[in-house]
Amino acid sequence: MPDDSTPLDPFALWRQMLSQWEKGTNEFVNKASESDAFAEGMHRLMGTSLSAKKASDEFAGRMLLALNLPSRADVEALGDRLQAIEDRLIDVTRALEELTGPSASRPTLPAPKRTRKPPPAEEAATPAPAAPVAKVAKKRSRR
Amino acid sequence: MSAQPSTDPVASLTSRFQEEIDRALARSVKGIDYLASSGPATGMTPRDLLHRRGTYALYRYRPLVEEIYRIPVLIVMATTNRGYILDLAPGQSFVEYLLTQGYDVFVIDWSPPRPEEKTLGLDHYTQDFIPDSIERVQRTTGEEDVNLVGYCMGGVLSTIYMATHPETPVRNLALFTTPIDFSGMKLFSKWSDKRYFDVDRLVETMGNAPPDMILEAFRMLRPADRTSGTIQLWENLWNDEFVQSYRMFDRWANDILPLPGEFFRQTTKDLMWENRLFKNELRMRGRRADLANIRVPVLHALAEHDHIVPYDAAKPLIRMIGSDDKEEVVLKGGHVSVVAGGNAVRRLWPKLDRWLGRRSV
Repeated sequence: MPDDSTPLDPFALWRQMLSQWEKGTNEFVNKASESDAFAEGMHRLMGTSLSAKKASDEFAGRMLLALNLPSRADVEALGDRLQAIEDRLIDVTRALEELTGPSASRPTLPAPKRTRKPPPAEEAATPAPAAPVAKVAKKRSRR
Repeated sequence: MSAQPSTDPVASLTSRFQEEIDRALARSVKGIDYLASSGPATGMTPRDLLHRRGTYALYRYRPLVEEIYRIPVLIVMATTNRGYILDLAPGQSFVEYLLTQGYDVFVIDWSPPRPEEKTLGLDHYTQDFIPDSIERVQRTTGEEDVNLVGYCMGGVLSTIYMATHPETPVRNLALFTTPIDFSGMKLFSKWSDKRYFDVDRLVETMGNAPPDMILEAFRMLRPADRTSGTIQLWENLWNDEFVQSYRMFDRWANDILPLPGEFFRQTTKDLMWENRLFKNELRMRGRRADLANIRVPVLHALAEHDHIVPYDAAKPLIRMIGSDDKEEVVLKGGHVSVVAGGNAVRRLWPKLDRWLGRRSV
């Protein structure tokens, strides 16, 4: 790879500028959002939006009722019931497997022995598998 | 595509421009691929669902080696995010790493809470889901002892569980980026200022705390990141590894879960406003969460550049717990890169293995 630090590399300069812009913007917005006025304004806006949502939900609910149609909440409730049935089926399947042994669809693996000992101290720092990890993993995952 | 460094400035510049032209060509071809494909698959390590109850699910990953450590590991994932950050892709999976190092790995992962789960509170997570998982791990493995690992809010839940259960079968506790003193989370504290934030109204109107709101709060911590990230993606579209990694992290970072309303209300009031965990005043179903009750070996791994859980919020843990065997380690990286990606592969994972392996026999 070329030496990015060369003074004649305009692309490196561009990256530097981008990085400085990012840092400066984050610092500026963080500083601005520390104020009481920001918190007050943000929550006033949220309050207004909650009121609007409540009113629109009530209106939509009345409309759907008049049209004899299920609301989103009704559909979600049905989904919840289906999920609950699915959960119970998983429990029943597991209970059956415990009683009768594992199903033929999933081959039984021999249980591993629980006797492992750590390697000697000097070898203990086993490096993780050397996977290709691009620099984005460092940059983008700052969150 | 690479060029040899040249001592001639003009030749060096020419070579650099040539490289950028090559990249621009590759970018235009790969840009179409990017738009047409759905991104790399995540969470591919084979696992079995042991139990599910609404938002709460317990998985066991299938062991990859014939001889494993005696004590199984139970990982508690953060409640706002999907668990696949710990199992991104082969070679970049924390879970896969633990399995190959000989651990028996169980994970508590969370699904979006259902509307009727809005009443789930911190007590359900710390006094029901975690103890229930521990019992299931014990039954499944036949081992009395369990190791507990918590990430971010999963670390807070694990800490509250440990602080309210001095009689626990947990033998070792590893926490990653876990806040204890919530006054140290400066921006979140400001934004949830009780003078302006009507959390009761939010919960009563919305039921569960909406993921969009949580995502926006995370984004506001680093508002320029999205723009600069997009520019970086465009610049690196020629680089398949970069694009794959970007897509995995970007997908995960935007895949935020809603929080049960009561959980959100308690987190806001008890942790953020009153700082009860730090003051040892938090009570869960009659039990007081006293950090001094934690007496098992503890490792707390923090990130040097963590803007979500700053060091001030996390540092009191080691001082306040009752353990004799305890260690805090501050690793290079941010809140996510400390547990996943290239940084974690080199730093946190081997560190945890060294710490946990000799305590798991």
